[in-house]
Amino acid sequence: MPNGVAPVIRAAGLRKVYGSTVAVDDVSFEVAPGEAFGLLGPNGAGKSTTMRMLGAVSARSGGSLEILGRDPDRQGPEIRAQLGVVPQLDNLDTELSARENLIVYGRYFGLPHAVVAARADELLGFAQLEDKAKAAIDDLSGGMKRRLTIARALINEPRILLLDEPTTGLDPQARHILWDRLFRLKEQGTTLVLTTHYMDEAEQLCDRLIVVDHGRIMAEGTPAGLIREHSTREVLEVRFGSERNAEAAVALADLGERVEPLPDRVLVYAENGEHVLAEVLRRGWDPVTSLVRRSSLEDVFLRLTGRSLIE
Amino acid sequence: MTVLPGSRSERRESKGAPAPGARSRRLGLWYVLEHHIRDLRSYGFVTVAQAVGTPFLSWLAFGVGVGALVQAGTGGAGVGGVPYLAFVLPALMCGLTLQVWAEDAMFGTLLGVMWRRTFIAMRAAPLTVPQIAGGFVASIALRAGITAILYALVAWLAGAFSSPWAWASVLAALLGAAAFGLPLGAYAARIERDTGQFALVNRFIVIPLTLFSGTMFPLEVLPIWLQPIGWISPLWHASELARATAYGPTGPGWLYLVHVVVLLAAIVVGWVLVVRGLRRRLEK
Ligand SMILES: Nc1ncnc2c1ncn2[C@@H]1O[C@H](COP(=O)(O)OP(=O)(O)OP(=O)(O)O)[C@@H](O)[C@H]1O
Ligand SMILES: [Mg+2]
Repeated sequence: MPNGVAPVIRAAGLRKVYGSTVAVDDVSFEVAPGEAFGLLGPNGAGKSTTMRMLGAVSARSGGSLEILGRDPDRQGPEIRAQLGVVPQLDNLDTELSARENLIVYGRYFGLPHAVVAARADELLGFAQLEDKAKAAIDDLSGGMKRRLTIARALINEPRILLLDEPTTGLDPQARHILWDRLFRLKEQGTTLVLTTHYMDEAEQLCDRLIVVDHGRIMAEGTPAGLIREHSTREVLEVRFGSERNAEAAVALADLGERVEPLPDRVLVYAENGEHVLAEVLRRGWDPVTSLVRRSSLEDVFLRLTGRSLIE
Repeated sequence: MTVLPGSRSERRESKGAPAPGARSRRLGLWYVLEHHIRDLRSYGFVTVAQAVGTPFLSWLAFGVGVGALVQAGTGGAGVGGVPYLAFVLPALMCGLTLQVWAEDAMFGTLLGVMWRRTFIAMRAAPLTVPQIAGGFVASIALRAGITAILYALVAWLAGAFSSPWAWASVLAALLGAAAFGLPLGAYAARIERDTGQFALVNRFIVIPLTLFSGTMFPLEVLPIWLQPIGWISPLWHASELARATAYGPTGPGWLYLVHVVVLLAAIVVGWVLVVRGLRRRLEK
């Protein structure tokens, strides 16, 4: 975090309990203005619950939280007036057109009709939905609905944009269009907080992120820093067939800094994957397929939790 | 592409500037109502057709059909001192208004918290739960009010509403509808999964209420052990008030005061429960 700048979000020991379920256990982080901050974690990690607390919708069960210098328990509406929220589940009004959705939402913030009308048209352009202005919500594709929801979240020119899994369920092309829009926002200085269980999304969009599991922070840092800290430069992926993978992992255990046997493949973590592959072949282990790649956040997550991000 | 969170200066908080969201704090309820009115436009035709068509059908059934029978059976005296059609229309108006409110309360709530999740979207903006509930209830009152006014107009044209106070029967119908619809909305806010509860409510509450609330015959005609259904029924209290305003009171004045107090009490309790139910749903 840049020194000397007051954070726009300050969470310490944040906790949320539903009955006997501890959804968020102990989460602490700060977000600087203009930063793109990510929460990366598997299903049920507590990402959405954290986002609802950041959005001043859900009251925390413990810890302290400050959004834009205010306490969400006492000044929820003042905070929400300055946020843009893209929820995990779309909640557009299917009774209204795309443009009308933007207009009614803008009115919630007390903006005059003329202002919301002008912004709605501008944001439809931003979301590349000009020709869908009059379209019914049900006639939009999943990617278009997501873009419209992001446009809606921008109608009040928010200081912080909260995005809960902005691209889940979209095809690769739709995801790239969306990422491009988010990049533009970032360039213009909007603070972004987003959750995802896609490591590539986190690497693409986030300046800094926390890896969350079971409501706790497993690691925090920049994508590159986390990879450097928790993984090797390269990974060799070799497949020997499901019966032999475990056996191979034992036989090759000394080849890398770490060897991870997965049901369908063996991962060997090393600085130079090609060298390791040569040694594997020299030892007479002939893989069905082999691949050398750079380490990713997926590897960091596997290292920290022993599980894959996407099961 | 120039307005996007670009020009920040206008937004910077300075001393003396209103707190963020100050307008929403004052006018949030109106913004919610504005949204619902946009939604209502697609029901406009249904609302008008129903409000105008139903009294016409009632006139055919109770004025020409059953009514002729009753008029003949009472030797032309009618019921409660008026022709049967005049007796039955104020109560049927209350019944239809109540049905419209019940339907909107039930489906509108489920749409808001579960199906379309529009209330959840509102709660992410600077709106509060009482504002969301208030705007929603106001929109139902609007549709129910249009229904009652059009119904009363048709009944008046049919000559069934004779008193100069007949216009107030619309208020009676709205009071009765709210006294039933608000608690129903509170119940709907607690539904986690739609398993056809509305059909049950309709079959086992709304229809029996219509049958035993002194709608089509005076409550006193029923054996005493069935009359308590009427006493607890908002529809009976509303119908008695609507009749009194439509063609003149037939009982002591204090009784009408009781009707008003019972309905207002149910409305107050219902409102508190609606806000509480929606809070549980939208602030978890
Ligand atoms: N309203 C609620 N009532 C009870 N339990 C809840 C509620 N919301 C979330 N939980 C529980 O809290 C835990 C965390 O849920 P949360 O939705 O925050 O996870 P998530 O990281 O967003 O997962 P996903 O990737 O599936 O969206 C889960 O065990 C979930 O069942
Ligand atoms: Mg989630």
